[in-house]
Amino acid sequence: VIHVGIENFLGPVLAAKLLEHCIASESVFGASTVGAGGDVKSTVRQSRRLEDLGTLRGAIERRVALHAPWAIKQLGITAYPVKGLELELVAHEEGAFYKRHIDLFTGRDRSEGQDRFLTVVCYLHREPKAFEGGELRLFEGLPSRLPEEDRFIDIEPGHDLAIAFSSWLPHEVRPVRCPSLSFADARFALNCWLLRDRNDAALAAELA
Amino acid sequence: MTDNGRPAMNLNRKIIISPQAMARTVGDEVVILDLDKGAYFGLNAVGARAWQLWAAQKTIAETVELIALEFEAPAETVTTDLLELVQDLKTANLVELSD
Repeated sequence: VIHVGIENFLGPVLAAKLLEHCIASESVFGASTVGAGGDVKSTVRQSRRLEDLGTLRGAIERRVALHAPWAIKQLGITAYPVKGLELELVAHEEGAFYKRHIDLFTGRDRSEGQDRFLTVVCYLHREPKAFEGGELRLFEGLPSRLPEEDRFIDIEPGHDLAIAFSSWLPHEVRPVRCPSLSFADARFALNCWLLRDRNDAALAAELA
Repeated sequence: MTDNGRPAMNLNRKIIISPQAMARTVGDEVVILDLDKGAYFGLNAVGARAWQLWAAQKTIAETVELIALEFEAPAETVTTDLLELVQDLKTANLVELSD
């Protein structure tokens, strides 16, 4: 298992409010960045992002806390005491994409205090869906396999569908086509990252 | 001392996974990421099972017993292979041995 899907992740009311917040915040979405330095690299990632979740942040945090323990157990990833939660909204409009990457910084890029260890992405869009593409492509990323031979699966975004996976699972966002060019018709994503303190030991695993 | 000249390892010790080692499962394999180096370390099915057992705080002796049973392999062979794996992971600073 390299990912788990959670339908009705936020629930219909919260999902609708968050989508409304996204659409109403069009003017304050800024260019998406990559890497620890927060660089804008349009050949790697094209989209717009927003950290401000307004008054919805608390309710979203509670939904993440509700689902995360189950996801960690299903995925068989190393679990740690959760010491923080990083959230952002991303709007994928016409032509948006994000090339293969992982969500965790390692080596010299590694942050001083905390590491991401679980990624949860929840999709939001108006009905009927007015964009095509934008699939989440997840790679197995086995070191024994050459990158070009790496197996992958594509997941089609669905409103209020969340996908959880290890933060260092290689993944990409396939190009989005949004013919109306309307911001409201974009593919929106709520990105959530569970954080652990850098020197925290793993929690004892439960045996399968 | 063992036949290969290394000090004998106390099999009642547990394996402590380093905070810089993060693991995930792919099929019956386990991939370990060394966060400091950004390097990957792959474990086959037997190594993957050992990693899961160590993560569940089983001793080396308990790990040998369970793996010998599950993979229908002689305990002596499993012991040799696991001690070699422990040594490799220790050299890579991905695990330590408990006191």
